[in-house]
Amino acid sequence: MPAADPRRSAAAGVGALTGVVSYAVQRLVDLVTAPDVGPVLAQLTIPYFWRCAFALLHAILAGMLCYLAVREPDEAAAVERAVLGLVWPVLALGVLAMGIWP
Amino acid sequence: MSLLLFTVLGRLHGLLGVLALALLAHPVLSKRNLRLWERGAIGLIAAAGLSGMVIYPAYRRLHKPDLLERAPDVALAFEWKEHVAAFALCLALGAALAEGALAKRLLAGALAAGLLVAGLGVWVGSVSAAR
Repeated sequence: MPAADPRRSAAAGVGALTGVVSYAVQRLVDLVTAPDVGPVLAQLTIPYFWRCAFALLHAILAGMLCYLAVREPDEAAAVERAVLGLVWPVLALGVLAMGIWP
Repeated sequence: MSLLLFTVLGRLHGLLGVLALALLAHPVLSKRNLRLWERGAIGLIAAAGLSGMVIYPAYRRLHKPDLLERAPDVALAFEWKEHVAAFALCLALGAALAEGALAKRLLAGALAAGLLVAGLGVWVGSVSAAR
């Protein structure tokens, strides 16, 4: 079924995938750079919340950029097709990457 | 947050998550366009995520240090659950704005991630209670 607003749909898909990738990358960076779990637990700020907030911010920015950059319906359809094909690989890689424990 | 409130909210969080998955399965598996079901499921996923974030600071303070001490593998499995839950939330929020086949695909991804989250949550809850 064709989307009523293909630009918005494509932007939402790009935003969702960007959020997943952003969270995964932030977590993997934390694995390398964060201190041991003891000091992390003693922190007043919670890394999980920061990661979620930044992932949301990145998702909104990427979605907005996509919405502004994609003008024509056929461009939006191409972006939508690309996102459709990327959902499962990105999710699977993200889930596997998060399973890599320190 | 008191232990009683934490326990009550924790149960509510789990209940909302299971309800969200049950509601989400219908539009994902059905070939029809069930937008109302999708919206309801997305709302429940958001509510489950929000309730999880409300109890998360208390979990870190009350349970996580003890769990890391007694059963580090279980604590790490719980970490994995948190990360996958963030993925499910991203996909569900994207599906709320997307339409058509893309919305269905994003919801299917959220359902898959949610099933893993639920499985890990139940496993961690039962194992940590037993140890």
